[in-house]
Parts: sequence; structure tokens; C-alpha cells
Amino acid sequence: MDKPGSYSGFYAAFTPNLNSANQFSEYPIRRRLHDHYVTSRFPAFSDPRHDLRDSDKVIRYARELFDDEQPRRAIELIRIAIEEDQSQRALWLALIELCFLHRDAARFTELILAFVAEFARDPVLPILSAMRRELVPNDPAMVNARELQGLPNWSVPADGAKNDVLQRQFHAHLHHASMSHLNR
Amino acid sequence: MGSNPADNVSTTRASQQAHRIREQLMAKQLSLESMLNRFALVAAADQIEQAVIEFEARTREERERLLLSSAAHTTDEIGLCEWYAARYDLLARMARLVTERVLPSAPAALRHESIKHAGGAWAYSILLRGHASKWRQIGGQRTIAPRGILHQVFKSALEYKISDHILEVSVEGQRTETTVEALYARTLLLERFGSGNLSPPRLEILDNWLITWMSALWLSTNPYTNDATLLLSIDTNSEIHGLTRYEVGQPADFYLSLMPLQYQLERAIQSFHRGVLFPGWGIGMAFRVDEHVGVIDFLERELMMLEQNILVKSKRFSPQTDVVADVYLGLDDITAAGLSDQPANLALNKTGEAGSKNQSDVDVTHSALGAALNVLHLSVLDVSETGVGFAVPATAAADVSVNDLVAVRFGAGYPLSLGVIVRKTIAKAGAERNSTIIGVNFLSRCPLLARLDLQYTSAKNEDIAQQNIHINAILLSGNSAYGNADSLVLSDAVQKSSPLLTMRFGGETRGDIFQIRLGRVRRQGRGWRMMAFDVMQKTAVG
Repeated sequence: MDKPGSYSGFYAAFTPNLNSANQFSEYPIRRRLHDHYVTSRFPAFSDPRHDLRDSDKVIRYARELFDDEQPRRAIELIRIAIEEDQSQRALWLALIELCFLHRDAARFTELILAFVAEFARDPVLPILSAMRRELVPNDPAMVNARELQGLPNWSVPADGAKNDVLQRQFHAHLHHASMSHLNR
Repeated sequence: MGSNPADNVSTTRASQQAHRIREQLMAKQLSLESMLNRFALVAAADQIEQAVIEFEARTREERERLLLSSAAHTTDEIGLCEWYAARYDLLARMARLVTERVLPSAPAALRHESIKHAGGAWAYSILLRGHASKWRQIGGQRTIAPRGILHQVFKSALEYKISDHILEVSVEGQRTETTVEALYARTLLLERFGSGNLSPPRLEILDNWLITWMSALWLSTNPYTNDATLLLSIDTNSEIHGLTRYEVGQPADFYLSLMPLQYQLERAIQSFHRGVLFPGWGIGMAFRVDEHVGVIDFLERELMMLEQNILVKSKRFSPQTDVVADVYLGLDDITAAGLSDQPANLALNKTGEAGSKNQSDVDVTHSALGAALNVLHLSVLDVSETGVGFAVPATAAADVSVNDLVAVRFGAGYPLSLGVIVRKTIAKAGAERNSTIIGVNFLSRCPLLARLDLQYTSAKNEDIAQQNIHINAILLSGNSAYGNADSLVLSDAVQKSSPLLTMRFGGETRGDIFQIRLGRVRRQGRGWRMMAFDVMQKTAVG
């Protein structure tokens, strides 16, 4: 598999803070500020308590942000939705895939541990091991993990699948033309 | 609608009261200045700190009101902003005088102790200069004051080896631990990030954040090769002005890694997730959450652009003002003239069906047409990673609108940058008073021209005619290696028919032909659309 290298080099917190929403019942004013923040930062989520529990909507919007070169906002949206309702398994998987695309082995491991704490014995665990092996090829703990067969597309909305291979080839041509021009 | 007379009376009273407070504070500051020589060094530094605390406490309400009414500053309000800048400048000057008195006044044996105890004077000299610069910007003065004195104060702190001592300063009544070095970095960052791109409330919020983050602002004499980095020179004759984007191998006196700022930004975001306004103090607390979110968006864009610079090494325009740039307006002029001298062997055909045989590799390198077209030569006011500000002469002001597509060339030999106008205002103060100011957000530093062949089949009576019309489009390479962020900028008329397109990379006899389908609109303006697209098919040629 090609090394994506997309958006590498920036720091982003991937692991959701599962205690964030705990104090809202005690401090309603915090709930109000949180909701105001969400609607301002993500205008499509005008009813945060309801919209952040709509996994499909969150994934679709996050993917658009990611494709529009706003990876931090994409990651944050999924994170804040998980903080709202941590049982949304699809969102955990989407976040894991974005973290994998980010090639951040340390945070990937941290995120996997948090996922396993929520969803022990989940059927995707072998895929997660394969992804981990792809990120850290020399990790002795992953020596028996199977090889990753393409991206699982967890961060892509159900009807938004693309031909990743062609899209990447096209981009390679375009990137080459751009660089040739800049460096002439 | 008439105003309530009672309201007018109370407004007048409040205004008179504020005026009295200002007069009292100014008299106190002038008196302190004249008495400064009578104080011992440490006492003088303390006196200045007390003056700052009192000044900020008694004027907070008025400053808050000024920041909130920023959308339309009146002449009086601009005058007030200038007055605040002048007061902070005076206090900064007094603090600097104290730093200059240290060596001559201290006996050799006690010199080190004297410097250490009077460290606050260095801190306030730099902190207050930053405050003054901010209030000048709030009042609409976009020209940054010379940094010579700021550099001198920092150089003397380095010389006396107190630049990294932990000191305490007071900002809006909040005691903050810091160092002279961090205060220096905060002042320069504030100037860099705030140079005309942020509204006054957002500038104030950003400043509150930078002050809270000062513990993460460390200057290094060695470059950070893997992090987004800014550099600076403290030599006043240097060509480097303020904090500048680092290019590999570029020598400088100091380097500032932006990675710690990213961690701090995440901390701030996490605070909002918990429903707590960050940082919990300062005038920024009075502003709406939208303004705070605006600062997050702004910092994310700025940091992203700086990070991309690590990945893409190329000839780039270094942010500096005092240059005149060529600016092309509108999709037609940009593609016909602005991009005409850029050799890109791309050809696009619009076809109604997949695999059409009508693709042709069109040589897009044609003679420059610039002389006959609309090119503006505009003075650059400020540049950041994500945008640029221009002064527009009155003759051209009517031709530019928000959301217009523009292309900018900063000088001969520089590539064209594509952008969109996001702001158009009339300058209220400074050298550009009453002229039109536009703000441009960059879409791409490397737009590529592509030719689009539109095939029209028209049927009149029984005659069927086919017509080819050539239309220009612009390809933008995104930052994702998966190609998800690539875009095509084209005329809205073409976009509306939602066509399939084919595009050839390579020569006539060898290369790849891709079929693409236009997707959603990413951005749009008068006559143009920036579209996402999906690659559907590829055919190899040769």
C-alpha cells in the first residue's frame, strides 16, 4: 500500500475525552456553552444533542471537512460526537481510520486501547492489528497480525465510496505538474 | 425613531465620567514619568506595575465597549484607540528608561542583584509595547510600528542574562508567570497573526490566549527541522521583519517552533468541549462564542499553511509589505492572462459520454495577453500564511466585490497565487485612511491552467451542427495524497450542466487520460465555482 502521508506533520488529539460531558447535568450553563460552541464551529449541527448522535451525518460531514483540507475540524467533530455518546461504534471506527491516515502510531495505539475498553472482543480487532502492523512494521507484538488488505473505508459515508486507486493516480500526476511548475 | 432623553442624559454622564477617569490617569502617568528618576530601581519597576494595574482596572469597561463596537468605529472611537495605544506606549517607555538606568546606577558588586530585582521593567517594557501595537491595530492603523526599540530591550535582557528568568506580570488584573523571552515572542506573534486579518474582538481573544500560552513560547538558536517554525532576527538592519516563515537553511538569530502552540490550541478546544470558556479571564470573556470559534478557525488555517510549508519546498513569497503586486480579477482574466505563461500540459474535454474520441492535447502555453486585460497593481498592506491585504485605488474599488476570484503575483519570477476576496472595507485610520481595503484568502499557491473543450450539438430544422468552444479552467492540487482535496475551478455556466470531463496528462502519444465527474461545490462566487470531483476511469495512451 502506498504511504498516504496526507496531512502529516500536525498535532491533533484523537482520543475522545469521555469525561467531557459528565458535568453537564450538574452545570447546565456548561451544557449551553458546549452546544453554542458546536453550532458555531459546525453550523450543520444546529441541534447538537440530537445531531451529534446521528452517526451517518457526523461521518458524512467529517469526511467533507477532511476532503476540504480541514482535518483538525473533521477529527474534532467525530471526537465531540463520541464524547456526546460513546456507544457510537461507527464513529470510533471512522476516527481510527482518520488516525491511521494521519500515520500517527502513538495516538493510533492510544485510540485502539480506548476503543477496546469500550468494545471488548469486537470483530474488527484483527483489522486493527493489521493497521497497527502497517504503521509499526517492527512491532514484535504485531508479528502474528495479518497484512492489511486496503483501507476499510470506515470514514467514508455509505454512498460516498470512490475509486481510491484512480483518485490517487490522478493526484500524483497533478502534484507532479504543480511541483514542476513551482520549482522551475 | 427618537431616542429616549433619559438615555441621552445617562450616556452623557457616563461619557463625562469616562473622560474624567482618562484625564486623571494621564495626569498620574505624566507625574510618574517626571518622578521616575527619584525612585530606586526596584521601586520604579513596582511603581510602573501599579500604574498598569490601576490603568487597566479603571479603563476596562470602556475598552470592552470599544472592542464590542468595532464594526463601525466613529472618529471619536478611533481617537480613543489611539489614546490607549499612546498610554501603553508611555508606560512602556518608562519601563525601558528603568532598564537603561540599571548599569550606571548599580555598584559593580550589586549589579547582578539589581538587574534581577528590576527584571519586571524589562518584562513591562515588552508587554506594554505589545499592548500599544494591539490598540493601534484595533483603531484601524494597519502599519506596524518599527521594532527597533523592542529588539533593543530584548537584546539588553539577553546581555544581562535575564531573558529566561521567571517573572510575574499583571494583565487585566491577572497575575501571570512568564519570561522576557516569552513576552517578546508573544508581541511578535500578535503582530504576525493579527496584522489586519482579525477583527478587534478576535484580536483581543487571540491576545488573551497568547498570554495564557506564554509558557510554551520558547525561542531557540537552532532551527527545528521537523516542526513548523518561524524565525526572527534581532538585528534592526536585517531583511527579516518580525517573525517569518522558516525556509530550510535560512540563518536567523532565533527560531520558534509552532508545535507547542498546536498543543495549546488543542487544550483550548478541549475546554470548550467541557463547556468552559477559555482561558477564563480577560476582556475576551465578554465576547460571543462565535468570536472564539473564529479565532480557532483562524489559527488552524494559519498553522496548516505553515505545516504545508515543511512538506512542499518551493519558491515562495515571504510575508513582507512595501511591495506592489499584480492582481488579476475574475476567472476569464486569470486564465487568459495571469496563468497564460505557466507551462502545464493539461487538456480537458467536456463530453456527453465516457470514452469520447474527441480528446485533444491542447498546448496551453500561449503568448501573454496581459497588456490588453485588467491587471491591477495594488500595494500590499499585510501578508499572512493564509491571506493578503491590499489597498485599492478609488478608480478600481467599484470593480471588486466580496467572493470575487483573484490571482496575485508578488513580483517577477514568483508564481501566481489564486485567492478569493473575503473582505472589503474602508480604512478608518492610518496612512490608508478613506481608501478601500480588501482582504484575500488564498485558495492555492500553485494553480494550473487546463483547457476545457465544450462540445455543442445544435439542431436547427434538419441540420445538425457540432461546435467546439474552448473554455479555460483551473486545477488545484489539494494536500491529501489520496486526491480527495483536489479541485477544479470553472465557470458557473459549465458547472450547471454537471458534465463528465476527460483530462489528459502527458504528451500526445503517451500519457494517461482520466475521466472525472464533478462533485459538490466547495466554494463559489460571481461567475465561478470551485468543485470537488471523482475520478471515474483511466485510459493509458501509448
